[in-house]
Amino acid sequence: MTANTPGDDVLVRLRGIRKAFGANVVLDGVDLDVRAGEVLVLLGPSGSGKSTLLRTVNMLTPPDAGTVEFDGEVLVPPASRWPWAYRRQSARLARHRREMGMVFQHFNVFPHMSVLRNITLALRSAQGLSKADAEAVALERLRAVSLAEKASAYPDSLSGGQKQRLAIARALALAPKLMLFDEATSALDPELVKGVLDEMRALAGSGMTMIVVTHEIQFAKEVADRVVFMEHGRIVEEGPAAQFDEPREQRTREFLRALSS
Amino acid sequence: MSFDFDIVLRTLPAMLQGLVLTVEIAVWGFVVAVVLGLLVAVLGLARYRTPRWIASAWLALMRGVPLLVFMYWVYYGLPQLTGATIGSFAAAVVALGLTGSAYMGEVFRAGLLAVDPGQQEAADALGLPRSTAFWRVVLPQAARFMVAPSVNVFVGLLKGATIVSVIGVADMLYIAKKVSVQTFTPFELYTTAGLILVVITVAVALLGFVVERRLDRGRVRHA
Repeated sequence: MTANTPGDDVLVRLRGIRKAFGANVVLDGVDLDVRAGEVLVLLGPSGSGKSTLLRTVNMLTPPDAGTVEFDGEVLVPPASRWPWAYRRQSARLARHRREMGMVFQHFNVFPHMSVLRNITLALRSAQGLSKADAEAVALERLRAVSLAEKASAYPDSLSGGQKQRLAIARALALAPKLMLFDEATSALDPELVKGVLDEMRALAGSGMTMIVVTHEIQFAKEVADRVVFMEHGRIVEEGPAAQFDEPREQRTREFLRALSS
Repeated sequence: MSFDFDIVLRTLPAMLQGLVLTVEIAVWGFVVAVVLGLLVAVLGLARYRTPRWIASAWLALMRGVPLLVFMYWVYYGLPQLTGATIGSFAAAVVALGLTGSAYMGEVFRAGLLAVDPGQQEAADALGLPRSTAFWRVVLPQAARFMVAPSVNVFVGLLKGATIVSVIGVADMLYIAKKVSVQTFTPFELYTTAGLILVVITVAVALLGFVVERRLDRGRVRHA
């Protein structure tokens, strides 16, 4: 049941996304399309809803209302009250999630597994690769982020930047169609930010579809095809990165001025 | 009054034989408690109301009934209900295991809740099957938080296992009581029994420490 028609290359389609935590409305009706190959940067003050919006894309935070369409299919969060139906729903969602990699602010690497096993776990248990095949893929991914020599080390012996590169390698190992970055550099020491941004820059250059939540405004201007500025759970302004040199909206100008000061 | 070492030395072999029974009962009871406890914890953390309700009811019941009463109930009460008799060893294991399952259930639940939620999120985002996320990602990390309280539960069960003579198991205390009544040496024999149990609990605590270090593999220890 694919809704894809020739010429329609929208990979992610969000419609009327609403989310509230108690009385706190975090997303107040967001519509957003992301085309295949596009690098979209979400900007906004903290509490604007940008991270929550990102998390609705892979249903880590299922919206209260609205639809998320990925690759032509509507994503349904597992909600059935019947265990077998719930299992079927979560298996279906898991299948979609394998096509969307996610990188978290706090890395969320698995601390009790070696660097290599961090990557092979999903390859083996979700994609059914053999041990040898999974390790070959994992090593290749680790080489790409200059971590091959750390394959047998444990994450606690890595720097923050290395952990985040491991997390990127782990997500990319599943060959996703979309990558979600949730403030991937916010928890890093300043001197480690560049290495992670370099990986993201290379990924953007390779044609990966990306949705990036970040405060790195220079990076956003450099790699974004489109920038979306959010506040109070709504999209205030969106356009090509160059537009944000001279934002149209007063609120966007204030935010960017505050960031650069 | 002098400490009669002679009677201690002469009774010790029989007491140690009884001790083997006590420890066996405690170990088997602990095994039952671990398996059922994991089930109780999973029920207690379930999405659905009914299993959560079952887990709370089990906890209230098993934590509320005194072990002595429960042991009598399993050994004398159950046969009356079912018509089938149960051996005293089995009755002791059942009583300890079911009681322990409530405590282990709480140990597991607290351990699972102590794991950084980001770990489950990372597993979800990778599209890992739910069983893989539980057995390979969350539970191994929760295990680290479970060792010390598990040692406490085991020690509790071991101490609980010292009352099994009430349903006719010839354990260490049964021997100590029998001999001390015959020879008027309760001080010597109960002191011995107490010290033996202290040695065992210390040994178990050390074992728990070793397991913790093992689970810390790969972790950087801070200071």
